[in-house]
Amino acid sequence: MKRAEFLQEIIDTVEIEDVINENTVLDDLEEWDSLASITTLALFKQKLGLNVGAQEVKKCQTVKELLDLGVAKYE
Amino acid sequence: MVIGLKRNGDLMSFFEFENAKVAGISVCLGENVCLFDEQPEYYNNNELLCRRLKKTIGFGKRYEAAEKTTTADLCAEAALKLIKSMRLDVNEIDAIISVTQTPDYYMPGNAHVLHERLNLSKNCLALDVELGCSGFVYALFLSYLMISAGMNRVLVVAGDTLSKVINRKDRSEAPLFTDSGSACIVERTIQKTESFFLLKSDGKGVTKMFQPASAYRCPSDENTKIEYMDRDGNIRSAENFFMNGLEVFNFTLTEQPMMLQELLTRSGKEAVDVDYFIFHQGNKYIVETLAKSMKIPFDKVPCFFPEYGNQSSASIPGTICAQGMMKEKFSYSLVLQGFGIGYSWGGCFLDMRDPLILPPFVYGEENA
Repeated sequence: MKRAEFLQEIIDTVEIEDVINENTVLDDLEEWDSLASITTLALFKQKLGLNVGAQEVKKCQTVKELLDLGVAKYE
Repeated sequence: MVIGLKRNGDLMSFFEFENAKVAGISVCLGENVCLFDEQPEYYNNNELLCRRLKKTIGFGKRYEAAEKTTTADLCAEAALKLIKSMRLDVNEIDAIISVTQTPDYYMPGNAHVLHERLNLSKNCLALDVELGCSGFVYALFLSYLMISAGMNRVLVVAGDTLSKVINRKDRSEAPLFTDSGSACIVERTIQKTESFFLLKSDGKGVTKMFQPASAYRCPSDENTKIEYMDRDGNIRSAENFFMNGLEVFNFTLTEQPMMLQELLTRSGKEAVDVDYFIFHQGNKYIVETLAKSMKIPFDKVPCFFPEYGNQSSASIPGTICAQGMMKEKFSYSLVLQGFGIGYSWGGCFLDMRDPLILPPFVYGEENA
């Protein structure tokens, strides 16, 4: 899966309505809450086969930081 | 005496039994119905959030016990109804195992409270198991062990009234749980059955889900009663139940698919050999995510979280009762998998032979 495709998975699953890019700050999004963190954690496992720690997701401030967690697995 | 327990291979936590079966199950729900749709103010009337929570987590209907109704009351009602429906003589029950974390008293445990309530014999031993969402599988394992050791019939009761220990202003926990009590009769069988258990624990999870204060490590005082607000706006005190949702979810997603795979492999089974996978109903998202990660079709994975909430230790028997099982089949196979507080997790493959599965009922609505 490509990096952009994974971003789209996050947008679809978390149902983010705003237009976002890698510089978007997660806390600025209305939809970014603990439920969003949990579903994103599951996406890392399901789509990329990656065990990302809960704390790692929590620490991310921007979309870029979030996507960087999967950097080893993108095509 | 028939020895029904076989040790399998090198793994200390995997067991095989061949002379016990589940003969009946019932579940009794708390008497107050709570509907997610009727409490939008709970989420600041945030329509988007409510829609997402309903769709993803599966919030719908759940049940809370009234102020004076305890776990023992719910379990007693479930047990009385099951005993009556199975036409059992209470003197034929050789042991009662109670699973709960919300007992009537700190001491003694609910097993003795229920021993008295159900008028069980002095020859019936009473034993408590202090576990949550994995507890039913653990107690079932103990009952199978007891049957292997020579007993004929064991009553397993499992239930919790977590609404009494969760802060109502804690939106991350309060809307999840249902108060209920279940009863299950396990019997010796002459016909050979196949049952496999795999059990695991990890004490590193102690502080991920726990009630920090009011026992003896941190006794109740004025400080432990002070309510505080966490980063997500949830309010609780140290005497309330606490769960680190993200960590617990991570544990579930990491360990549970592995356990299921290991259970099937060690049991010599494949997913096609199983009629239903009954997972602990943490929430709809967890049940569906586990099914997806194991590539099991949803029609084999009953999910009743939207109808009944998370029933804690009664979640697995509660789901079996809601599903009703297969009327057209005399014999079928189930995989049960419970996971939660501890961390503790356990799974089993059961060969079910014509069990009596009663539909869920509400406390006080039917006289058992």
